[in-house]
Amino acid sequence: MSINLNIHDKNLTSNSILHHLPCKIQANEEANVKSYFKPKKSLEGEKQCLSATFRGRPLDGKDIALPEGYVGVIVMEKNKPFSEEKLRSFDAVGCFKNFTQWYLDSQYTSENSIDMVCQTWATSITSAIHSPIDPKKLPCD
Amino acid sequence: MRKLKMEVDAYMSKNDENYKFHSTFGEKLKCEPCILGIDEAGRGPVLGPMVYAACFCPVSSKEDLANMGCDDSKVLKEEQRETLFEKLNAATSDFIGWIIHILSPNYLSTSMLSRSKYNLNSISHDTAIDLVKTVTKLGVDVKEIYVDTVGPPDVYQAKLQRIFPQIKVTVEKKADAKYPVVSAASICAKVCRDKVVNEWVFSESPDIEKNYGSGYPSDPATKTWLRKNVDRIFGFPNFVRFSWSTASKILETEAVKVIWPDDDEEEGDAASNTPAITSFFAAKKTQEIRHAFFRNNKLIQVESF
Repeated sequence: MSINLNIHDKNLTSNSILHHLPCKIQANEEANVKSYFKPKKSLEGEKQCLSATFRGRPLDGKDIALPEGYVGVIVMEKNKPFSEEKLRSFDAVGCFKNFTQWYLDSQYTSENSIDMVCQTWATSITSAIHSPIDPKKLPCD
Repeated sequence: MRKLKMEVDAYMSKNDENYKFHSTFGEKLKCEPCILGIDEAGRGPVLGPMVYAACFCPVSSKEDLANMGCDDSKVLKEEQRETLFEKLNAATSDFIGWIIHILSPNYLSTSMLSRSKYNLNSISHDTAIDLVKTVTKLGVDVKEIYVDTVGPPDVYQAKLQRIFPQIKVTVEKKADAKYPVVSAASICAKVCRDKVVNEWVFSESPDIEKNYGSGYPSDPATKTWLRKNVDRIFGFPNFVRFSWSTASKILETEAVKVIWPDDDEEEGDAASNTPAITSFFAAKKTQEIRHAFFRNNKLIQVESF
């Protein structure tokens, strides 16, 4: 299976607003986010707090910026081929530099690891995968 | 409907939050020992806020209050309740004061559906306790309180008596029919809840119809309205108490399934750490444990997407 990513600069100019929820919504479709999902900012002492609700459950949010030099791309697949061997094609429809991570009652969540994941991905994994390889340094037979 | 002198506009513009407000009240209530009655409206409905009210007057004005004809708000017609509320309100310059706490449906949902469940009885008790404290802070010399019970009356009475040792506490079933000061509180609460429910402003969309009936789960109009106003993803407008089984059952069939990280915890008895009985019969999941690097970074293998 190979994948084709169609990314045009015009799709990367406006920042999309992204919410990463702590639950799995078993659907992949457009939703009335603007009407139903209204995060609120408040101050608790000096700490900025973000709160929202989803399906009647309380959520606490945190804004997370992508690591320096990264941009997030949102892709959409218009038609998913039936066969696994066929070429798949994704179109970039938006981009983001930051997103909001939502926790279910963060006071009861011990690890808020998404920050760390972003960093690990950016600093360790991508460099290992994408750095050019010097052929001279490859082990020879 | 006549225009009521009850200022709930401040609540309406932020109806996902709670709102506490009180009447003006005369000096008499600050210098004489007072009695205070507490009651609530809208405990059972699946829609709208639960409204808590306290009404208070000097011990010396007990008779005057009784003569106003307050009765259990449930046996009175809407118009009678409004008339009585206006009479009560007119007396706030003299011997009566009231305080109301509107608990928004959003607050009820999120409290009851938080990770550490905050149940309706505890919410009710805490709200009543807070009302007494607030009235005391306003300078009213509360000597006796009368409360319509939530849960077993003796337990509730002992709890309140412990918190307010200097006050004579009476908790009874149907206190709203027995004590005029509780009847007065029940009228304030009911009139407020009715007004808020009738004039609800849907922040989700101005097009949502208001033919929701009484809001009680047993009302067919309420059920029809609930089914009609499901959003596949978000469920309901925040006018609905998601924590009511009437609401959650409709979502099970009419909306997209949502899986939460604490879904498993609900099975079995969390308090005693007893696993769900079914877990003994299920096949043991054999799961390969991956290196800590993958687990800590939440990296999982994806075979299809």
